[in-house]
Amino acid sequence: MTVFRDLTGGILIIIAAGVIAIAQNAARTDGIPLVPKAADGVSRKPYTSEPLSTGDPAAATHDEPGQIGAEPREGAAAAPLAAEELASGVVSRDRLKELLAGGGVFVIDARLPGEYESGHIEGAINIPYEKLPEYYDKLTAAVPLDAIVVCYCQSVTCEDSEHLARELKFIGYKNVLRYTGGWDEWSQTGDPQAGSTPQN
Amino acid sequence: MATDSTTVRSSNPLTALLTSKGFVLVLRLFLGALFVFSASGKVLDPEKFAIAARGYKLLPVALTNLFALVLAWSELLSGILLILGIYARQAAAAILLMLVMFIAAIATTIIRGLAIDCGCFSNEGGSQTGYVLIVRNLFLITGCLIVMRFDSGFFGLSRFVSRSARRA
Repeated sequence: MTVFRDLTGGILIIIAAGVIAIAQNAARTDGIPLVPKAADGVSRKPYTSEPLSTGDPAAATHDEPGQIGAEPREGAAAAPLAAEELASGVVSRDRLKELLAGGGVFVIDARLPGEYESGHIEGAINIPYEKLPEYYDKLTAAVPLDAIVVCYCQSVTCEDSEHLARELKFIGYKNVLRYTGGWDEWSQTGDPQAGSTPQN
Repeated sequence: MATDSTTVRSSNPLTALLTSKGFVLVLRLFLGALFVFSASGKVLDPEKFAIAARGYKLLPVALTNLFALVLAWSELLSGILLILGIYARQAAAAILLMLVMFIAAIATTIIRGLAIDCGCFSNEGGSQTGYVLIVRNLFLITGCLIVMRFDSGFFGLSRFVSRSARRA
């Protein structure tokens, strides 16, 4: 049968493409790992964080291990972002404070867990950009696609928040912003912050 | 009766057009260009495509990078072969297999109620999975079947090469 012969040929083309793909990826300086970092044996236990900035110490309890305790401010609906703000993709410290005060905002710390533990914006969720595949399911389960999400990393020169914001948009998050000042700027002010977070 | 209906079909102007050398050539070039375009962004930025693949939540995360690489290059290689007219029927079959897989994946997202970027063309996102994509892919599958059935190598490099070899 010609059709089956052609289909067999098609499968051979896909196999050949696979060989070319692996060889080309290995030759590239910016090639991607064949197995994402999440499967490289790093801890698979997602980091646990407290609920987002309720301002109420009683509410700052931890969820069950393995859960991201991401809940925007209770009873508050996220005010829609202006088109210009979304287009710019960035927020200043003052604007972030406004958003946090308004509630309904998810703040994501794109740094590694160790850095997050040493100090982070109060209520921020830790989704390390470098370990996104590992955190993917938890992220999508905890943060709805239509939520306002603000990413940050260490400072104005770090790139993790930018990369994470780009990937969040591609995943389907529609309201993604970056706080470019990062932890360095936030920690130098008297703004709400959390220090060493106890591990479960 | 079977003979009659065959006769009627072959004399149908639409069927004659769809199976004509010129139409099959245009279809082959269209499919080839479409898949080269589709693959270009994915080949250049496979990580982004891998993220889109993860969005479907059908594969273990550990396999998504490899899957993205292989799929991107399969689209590119098949598209190039279609444009050049080398192993065109086999390239159309490869694309057909990929389209069947895409339809199955998109159907599962509809069933599971996932609203995600399909990761279909280039890497720009924007298109969400849905019934429209399934219909579009069914049209593309029809195109592949026409190429597989009726491509005669017209204006294809393999035919040109074999002719040159015969002359030599």
